Amino acid sequence: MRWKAVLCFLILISLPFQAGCWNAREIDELAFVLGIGLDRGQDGGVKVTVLIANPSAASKSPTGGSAQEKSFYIATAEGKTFFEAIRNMATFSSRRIFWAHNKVIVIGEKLARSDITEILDFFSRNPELRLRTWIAVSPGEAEKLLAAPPEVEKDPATSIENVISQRVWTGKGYGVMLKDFLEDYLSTATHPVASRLSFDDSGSLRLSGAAVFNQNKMAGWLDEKETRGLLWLKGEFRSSIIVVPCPLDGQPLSVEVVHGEVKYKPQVRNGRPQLTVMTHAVGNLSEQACKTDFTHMDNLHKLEMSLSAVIKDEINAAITAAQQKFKLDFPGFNRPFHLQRDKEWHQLVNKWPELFKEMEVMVEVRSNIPREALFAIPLKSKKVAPGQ
Amino acid sequence: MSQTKENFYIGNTQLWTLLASTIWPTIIGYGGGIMAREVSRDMWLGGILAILTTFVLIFVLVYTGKKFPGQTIVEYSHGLVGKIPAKVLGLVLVAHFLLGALQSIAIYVHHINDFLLTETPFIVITVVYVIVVCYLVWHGPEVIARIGVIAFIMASVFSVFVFVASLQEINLYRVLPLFDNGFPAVVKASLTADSFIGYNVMALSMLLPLAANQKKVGRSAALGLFIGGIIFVCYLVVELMVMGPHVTAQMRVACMDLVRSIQITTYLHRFESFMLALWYWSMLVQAGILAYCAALAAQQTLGMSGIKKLSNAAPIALGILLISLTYLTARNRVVFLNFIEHGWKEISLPVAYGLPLLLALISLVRKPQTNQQQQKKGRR
Amino acid sequence: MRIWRKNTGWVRPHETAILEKLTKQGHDWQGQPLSTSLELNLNVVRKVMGNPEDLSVREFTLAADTEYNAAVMMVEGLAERELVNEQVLKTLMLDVKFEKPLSHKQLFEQIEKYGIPNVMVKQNQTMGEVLNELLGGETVFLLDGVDRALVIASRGWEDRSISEPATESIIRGPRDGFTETLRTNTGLIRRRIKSPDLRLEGCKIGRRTRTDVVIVYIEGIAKAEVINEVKKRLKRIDIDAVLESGYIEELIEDSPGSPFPQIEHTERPDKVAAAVLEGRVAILVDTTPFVLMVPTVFWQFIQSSEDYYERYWVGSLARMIRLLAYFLSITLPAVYIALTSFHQEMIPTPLALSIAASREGVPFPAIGEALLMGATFEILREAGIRLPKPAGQAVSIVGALVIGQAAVEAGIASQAMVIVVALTGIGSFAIPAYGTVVAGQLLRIILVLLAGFLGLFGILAGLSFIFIHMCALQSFGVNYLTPVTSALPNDYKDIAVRTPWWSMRRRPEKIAGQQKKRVAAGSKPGPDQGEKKQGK
Repeated sequence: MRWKAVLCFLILISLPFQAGCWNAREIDELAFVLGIGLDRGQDGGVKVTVLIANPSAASKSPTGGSAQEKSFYIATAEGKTFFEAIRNMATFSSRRIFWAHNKVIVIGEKLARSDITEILDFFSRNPELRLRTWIAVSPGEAEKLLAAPPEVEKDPATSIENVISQRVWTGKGYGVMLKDFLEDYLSTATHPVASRLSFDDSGSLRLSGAAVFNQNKMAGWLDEKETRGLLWLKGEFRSSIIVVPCPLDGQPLSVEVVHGEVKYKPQVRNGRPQLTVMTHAVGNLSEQACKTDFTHMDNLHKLEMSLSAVIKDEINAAITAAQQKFKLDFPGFNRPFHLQRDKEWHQLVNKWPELFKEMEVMVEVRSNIPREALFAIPLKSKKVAPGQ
Repeated sequence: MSQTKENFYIGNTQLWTLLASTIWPTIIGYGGGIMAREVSRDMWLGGILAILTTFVLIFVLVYTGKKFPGQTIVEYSHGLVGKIPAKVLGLVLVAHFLLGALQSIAIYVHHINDFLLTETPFIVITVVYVIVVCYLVWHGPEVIARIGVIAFIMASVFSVFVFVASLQEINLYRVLPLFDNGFPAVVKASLTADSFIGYNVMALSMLLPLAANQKKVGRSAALGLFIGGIIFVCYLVVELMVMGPHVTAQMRVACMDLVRSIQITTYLHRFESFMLALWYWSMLVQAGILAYCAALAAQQTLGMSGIKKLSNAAPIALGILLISLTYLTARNRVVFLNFIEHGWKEISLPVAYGLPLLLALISLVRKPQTNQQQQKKGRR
Repeated sequence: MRIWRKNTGWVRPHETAILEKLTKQGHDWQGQPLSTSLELNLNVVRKVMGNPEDLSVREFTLAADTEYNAAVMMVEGLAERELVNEQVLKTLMLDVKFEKPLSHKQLFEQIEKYGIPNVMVKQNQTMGEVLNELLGGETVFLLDGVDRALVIASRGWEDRSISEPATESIIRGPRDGFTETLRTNTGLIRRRIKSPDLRLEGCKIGRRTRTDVVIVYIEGIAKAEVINEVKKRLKRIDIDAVLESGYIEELIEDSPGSPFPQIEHTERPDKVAAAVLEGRVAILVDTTPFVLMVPTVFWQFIQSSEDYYERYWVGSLARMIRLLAYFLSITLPAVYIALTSFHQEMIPTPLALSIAASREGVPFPAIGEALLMGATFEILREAGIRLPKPAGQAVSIVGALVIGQAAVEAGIASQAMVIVVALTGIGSFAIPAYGTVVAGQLLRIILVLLAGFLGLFGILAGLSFIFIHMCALQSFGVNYLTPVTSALPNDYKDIAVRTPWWSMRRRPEKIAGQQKKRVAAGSKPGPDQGEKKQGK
């Protein structure tokens, strides 16, 4: 009996000396990658740019790090495939590249237009990376985008992440996670869409528009209006501002849409699909430049119709882009058919690309403006005019 | 063993928590991916169908078991089919349980090795895990049942976490329309799911004599299957909704990717290890009970019938066997996946579902003789 | 020693031989019957005890009549001298009256029946009994010509007064604690349970110490198997000395190899009374205030009497915090090591960067740091226990933090590790039972080593071993983790929470034998609940 205890003791004592053999790595020998940029390399290979955090400057309580010290640094490596490029980084990086905290994948336009199958394969197969990463395309080089110094945040990747997460406030940018992008990529009829990240004129980061993919190649950009339409079609539009021309004198008004809902009604007539898109928007009047008094119900109705017209315009822009400009079903119009017209869908699915181009889509928008924020009547000066 | 009394028993509540915590971890494995590859978005319907057919299996097992109170399936098959066929049957059952335990252990080791400890050698993780399982088996079914209660509590906590975290990802398009691929395909998928659930429920056939309240044992077993089945089906639905049927079909180990893709709060963004710590107990119980049934069936088949307690050498032999088998078969993930996806169904379904049905039919037919035979020969 | 007495003369030679034989080493004088000669008896006693200087022997004659010689023996320090003087010597020397033609035997009988005004007077025949009673503190009366002795109750020694138990102080609740005298302790329990079903059964354990041990249980509530098992195990003990209930605890527990204590001990009579009322068996041991209670389940070690006296919210919250604290104190260092050395993806990014920053420049790996800081804290804590009370507590906690801060600034440890170690230590302070805490320390070290080996999987394997062990551990027939693992929902009311008294209507399933109901139905209070129905 005693030898059992002695044996156990010896085994236990020798255990910690094995540490470091296999998977143990100290946290201060890791390089935390926060963002990845992928580009076409010089000689047709790939160029990978990673954004690595500098812990002493990036942490909340730096141990002796000065304020001027940069809290991140950029590293670039090239190779024939992604994995080779990534491993080539080890040739000059003093710490082990650690992918698990990666937040965003930025793909350069040139690479996006050539082939992204390898990217998708690598990032979903790898156990260190998550499927919840944001994926975005940048006009120009991803390397430049990642290298831009952030204004408030500690590093660009956090800025990008925050900008994408808060896209609902503007309603002009599109955000998609790798898992949803991959699901669209693998599906039978829908084409994937990625975000568009760029620099605006003053050099700061901007999320506006979207990138449409035809399977594994990028087909083109969507501008802001079309992106908004896309957001409406996907039912992701909420809390954004729509500028509506005032019904009586054409001056701009802001309506904050708090709730956007979309319902589809698919129909099949003579083997041809037809879709009715029914949108319902609920908004608040948040800013008016014109002097119309909207407590009168007719004025309010006119405003609501104005709003509906604007929304319908945006949605139509998206549908035009899908049906005529790109001829790709990226809004996912096949889904209502699959869901509600199951039997007909199985006959339509093989011919969907052609059917989609000529499909008749009717858009109906219904708006409601129940609130005008805090005001009851419009702001009107009651001063006496001079000369009276 | 550390029992003070000779006859040990499992309380009925312990029985259903044990069953529930053995059944739901079948989804933690290759089952999700395989079913998604077969029927994509209808896999949850296949799951529901599989659970319903397993209720029939439970009914059959309890019915046959009640005719021979106090005997496990290996023992009463002696009386039903004669000596030599019963030995063959016993060996088949031993192999079946052993393969089930092997799968459970292999799946868990794959999880650890592929996601958490990627550079550790396969054999190290296998050895440590098998040691734990053998330690559990050595203590006997009472202790396994008690750990089963703990496992059930952890599993409930885990399920709540997962379902709350996936609330923001509800996307009905990914689970509807119903029977998208047609009813026959769903039936085929349910057979796949059955091949994973079946061997876990067969453990019931070896445990029936130990239940404390023999009258209500059928009810407890059905309750266990029901609750385990609910978690099972809900998990399938959540997998579909969060990742989508195509991405799920891509993955080898779909559930782990599910857990990696959900997020409870904005700061705990990678809590898959915490989740793994919660469903670890259920997998341990599953491996433990299957290994125990294999060892007990082996002991009872090899002429030591009537023995209810495991000998002390059994866990050691079991351990060595499991380690070597796991190393040989499961080290190459591709080979293992092919076996599970394409070969396992044909082996498991006849044994898990066909065998009890066969025995039940025989017992219906030969009933008057078997009681006399049993009494003449005494309990061998 | 020979004393000249007028009537009997010198001690006869053959009696000397008897004396020599009797008092030879190894001779069994236990069963030796008393002789009719007073002298012989006294000399044997003196010889066997080696003429101790605290043995008082008073030889006298009854009622001043020289025909009847008698002697009274007692041990100073054990017997109460005043009582012996008043009740025995005074009555026998001065107040006793009898008719003259009376044989010695008849006189003896008369004295026994109405001669001595004491609650306990009984006869003894053998030398062994006389010596045992004498050494127990009773007074022995011997009459010349009679081969019996009278034993008179006279125990009385200096005892510690009843005071608040030092190890278990609470805010609300009774403040009396057990003392070192068995009779006082049984009295404290009897004060609380005035039912005639309360059984006290005594025995003496220990060859040389002959310590009084009493089993207390309530007939009808406690399980017969448990009672018999306790008696069986106590009878089995064959040891020289029992100085504390801990000796008995180690000799009757189910698994001596387990780190977890399987028998609970306490200094509080209300705790013992509550345990006995639930169906447990209490074991009281003389010369120690710590009383054992069996069977024991793990959850008792996170409970305190106070939980039952304050309202149920207080009790429930306190228990949950204690459970959390215990779990943290076992697993926190191991989890920290696993996360920072193996699974860095689990940590939220800002925290991961902070930890990485604080670990820069530290030479040791995380596991070395954990063991080092952990050992330092334990040393400080042990030192704090030995210091006088006011200084002790301050030294351990403050000292640990100060040393931790200094270590951080010197670059030996990282800040996160100091916090982890401090939390661990404080967590272990929250548990009322010391034995469980030490078990937790042992397990913590094992878990840390396993975590350094295989990360989270190592912790899981270690926890599995611990849980499997606990699920297999029995305490007098009851599993250690009852009722959580027995899935008895009725008993969940008293584990992590404390549901109100009107809701805990049945005793714990596995502990109580019969008579499970303890609170009548409809006991929930309210302003308009009306008269309570008569019921059980």
